[in-house]
Amino acid sequence: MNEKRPRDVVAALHETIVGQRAVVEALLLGLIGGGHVLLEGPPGLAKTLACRALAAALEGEFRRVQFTPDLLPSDIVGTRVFDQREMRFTTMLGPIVANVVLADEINRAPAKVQSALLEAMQERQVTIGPQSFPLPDPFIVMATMNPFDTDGTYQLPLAQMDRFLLRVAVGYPDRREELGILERFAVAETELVRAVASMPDVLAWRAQAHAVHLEERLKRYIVELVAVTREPHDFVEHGASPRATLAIANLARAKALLAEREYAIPDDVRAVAPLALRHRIDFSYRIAAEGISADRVLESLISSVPPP
Amino acid sequence: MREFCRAAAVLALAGATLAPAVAQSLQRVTVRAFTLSADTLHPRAGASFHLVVSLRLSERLADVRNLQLPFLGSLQVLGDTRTINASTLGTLYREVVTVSGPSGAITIPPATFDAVDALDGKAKEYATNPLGLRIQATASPHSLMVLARVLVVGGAAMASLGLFLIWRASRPRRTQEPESSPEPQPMPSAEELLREARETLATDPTRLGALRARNAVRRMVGARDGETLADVIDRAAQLDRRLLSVLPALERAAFTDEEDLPAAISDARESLNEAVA
Repeated sequence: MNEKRPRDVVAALHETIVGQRAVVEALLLGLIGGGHVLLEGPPGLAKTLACRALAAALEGEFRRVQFTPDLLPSDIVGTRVFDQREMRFTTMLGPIVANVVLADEINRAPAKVQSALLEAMQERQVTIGPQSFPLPDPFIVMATMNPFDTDGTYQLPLAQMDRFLLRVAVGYPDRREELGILERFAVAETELVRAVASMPDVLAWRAQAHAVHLEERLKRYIVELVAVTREPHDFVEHGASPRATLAIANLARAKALLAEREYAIPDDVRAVAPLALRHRIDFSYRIAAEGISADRVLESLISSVPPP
Repeated sequence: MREFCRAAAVLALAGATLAPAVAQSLQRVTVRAFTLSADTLHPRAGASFHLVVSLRLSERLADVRNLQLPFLGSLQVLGDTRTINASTLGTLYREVVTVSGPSGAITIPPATFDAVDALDGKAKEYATNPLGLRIQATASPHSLMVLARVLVVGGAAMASLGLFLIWRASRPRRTQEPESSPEPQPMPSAEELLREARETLATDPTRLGALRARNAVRRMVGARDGETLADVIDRAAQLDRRLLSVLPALERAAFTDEEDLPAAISDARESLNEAVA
């Protein structure tokens, strides 16, 4: 095992972030699982702080892009500018060239900007003019979406949502946590997170997670979980893609590594399944019409498959 | 005829208004967990112990209606406490029934809860797991009294059975006798199941043996299909403390890789030895 542990990062993040355990764990799962994270929740719930703190804890390069309706793809990936002294074009790389990129309110930018970002997420390189530039490794995009204030937003298509390894719903803190927030932030500025690991450690964790054993019955359980989303259901239009199967397996391995195990257990799979499936299922309009939460439908689908 | 039609119409109207009233009285909820457990699976005869019915719902409710406790047979109910914790995370309803009973194996049938499933709007009857207990005899005067009472009741039952058999033998035989249902098997005790798990691992130290041992211990703690290790440990308050190390050790033996399997089985056997001791 690597000397630096993912658990140290979790502890360091909680020195700054009060509560939001699910968010912190989801960020680590995304990081170790080698995918990108979609954070959905109302403003003011420490989404940006969590991403910034994660980059600081890992001594990684952090960039934040506020998505707006007038944003252009070149504002993210970069552009070619003419250097008058040298009399030639030079490339100015955009803010996407960093280890941790926070795409704030991703649904506020038009489709072509979203598409440029999501292509970079998939290919892990950007192309400006005739040249391609590889993105740093590790490279993780954390995108935020506000589910309430949807006027003037551009809904992300399902195919693009599929590019995110996991989606986490950020909820309000409970009373005890909110009291902790008051005590921690009323008297001082936000404390900087201490660096407890580095980007090479993240790459080592990914290799370790890749080696986590996933027993045959767990693989079948994962396949069943995804298959049940494709069966005819009153509240589901389209089920999850095979990418969801891979995502659950990756996340279950990452979850086992977080628990410092070299094998995954049914609890790991069941815990990560909602994170990997929620944004990959096309729920019917009937859930809104009948006032039913999509999370509850997903919960019932998951609980209909008995774990091994 | 006209009178008859009028009466039929009144009855139909009454039926039509009654049915929605029954449906409306059911709460619209999402049941996340509904379990029946006991603070010990091998209580002493005559001594009080607790049966716990836990119902976890996704909704925030002030009260829970239409929950039926199971038929407790020969167990004597000494008290009943209900608690309800409701928050934005949902509702946890717990009903703790203090009971005592005579020695012997008993299987308590499931508790039931009638509600409308919030996901599909259909009325459903939810049921817990059944619970097998083996109440052990004690040498205390109180238990002797209980035993004497059981003997008197048993004697009376035997006499009744004898009379019944004599009456039945005197009846003319029918051409085809219905098949008699098999006798219900008594639930093995916790110690027996732990020993069974330990012996299974000793005689068959393979993945299959580990799975069989895991199943035996899961059966012992009343784990249902669909419950994971976390669910079972979540009920740790009602679990025997010894099992808190046995369950994760067996989980490891069931799911680790082939290279680690011998060490995992060895650890699981050690945990089982400690638990049995």
